[in-house]
Amino acid sequence: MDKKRPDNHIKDRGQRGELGTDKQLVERVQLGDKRAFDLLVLKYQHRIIKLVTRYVRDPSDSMDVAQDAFLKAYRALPNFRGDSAFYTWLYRIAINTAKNYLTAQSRRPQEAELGNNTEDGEQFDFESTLRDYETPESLLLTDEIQQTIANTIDELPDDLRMAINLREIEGLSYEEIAEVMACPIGTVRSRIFRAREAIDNRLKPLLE
Amino acid sequence: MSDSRVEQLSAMVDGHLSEKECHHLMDESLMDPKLRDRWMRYHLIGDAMREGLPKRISPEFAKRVALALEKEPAIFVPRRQPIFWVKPAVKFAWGWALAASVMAAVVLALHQKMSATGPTPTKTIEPGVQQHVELQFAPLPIATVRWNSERSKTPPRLHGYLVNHNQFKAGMDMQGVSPHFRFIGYETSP
Repeated sequence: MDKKRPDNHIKDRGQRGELGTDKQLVERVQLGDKRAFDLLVLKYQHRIIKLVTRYVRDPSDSMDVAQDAFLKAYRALPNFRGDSAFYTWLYRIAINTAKNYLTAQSRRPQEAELGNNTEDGEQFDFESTLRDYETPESLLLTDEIQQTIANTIDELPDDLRMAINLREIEGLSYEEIAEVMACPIGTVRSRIFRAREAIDNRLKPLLE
Repeated sequence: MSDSRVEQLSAMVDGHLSEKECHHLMDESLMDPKLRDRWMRYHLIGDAMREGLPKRISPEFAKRVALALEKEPAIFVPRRQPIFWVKPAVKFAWGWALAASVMAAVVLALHQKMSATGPTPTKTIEPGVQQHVELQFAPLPIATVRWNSERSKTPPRLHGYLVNHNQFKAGMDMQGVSPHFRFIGYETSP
């Protein structure tokens, strides 16, 4: 099973509710509220950048392509009917933007990781707007973030650690977690929140 | 920022908030930079736990996208009207209820009309004549309605009204013929 496909991500996590949140944000954008799109960018930026990096190796270029993908998605949003999940739609746009970038650069992808979705979706013209993202101050090594998060999770009480793992890694719903942990749903919600807060307290200084 | 608000944000990240609460919290998140940053970090935590982070991340990325978006026009897509599907059984019952109501109204109206107009001509017309009239005019019920000579004292000012009324009355017209020439007049003798 290809873990990189967006549909698998949605299926694995069983996040119908999360799709509902996306739907509400999309509807807000479609009604003229640009700020709602910011929340979608904040939510999906890392996944999209990682996806684009599989095609475009240069970090600075991959940031540009990812930004371009978000702008194309925004412009195409009036045509988004919600037949598929927003992330699935965004994923296709990002892949096509990366492919068009590579075509424009007349070079081949340096990793043979082109997914099965390359034939899908819309085709876009790439507008190259290079920006300098790669400054030592603004770039953080993912390893540092992941290490901080892992260390904090290890230090969490068992009930909080189990709740956040079941949610984020196993993709269980609150109802399922409540069943596994034999506790009310409200307790699950509270445990996940407390776990996130504990991690966030360590993470926040790294991002500021 | 209260803990309950942030807990709601955590639930919204997981999609476990009611639509109404979600709507309300979105309004707040869109206005409050601290809530927005938390929204981003909560998703970052999830991505990191699933090893979904790129090798490098830029805290400035979302800001740059937002800046680029400022140059874009706001989009507006008219909302599609929701389609309300009525259950077939309810639809069926509605149809029958409507048909029954119409039938009842028609029956009542006919009954009233029959009782009001039916006996009047028979009293004024002799039996022999009545039989003759019925045989002659039965296929054309409208033409058989004749005014009693006693009622011919209608004020002349109403004549124009009656003519106009008959001219526009539904079902009275005949193709190519002006209706009032055929139907309007006062009977001088029974």
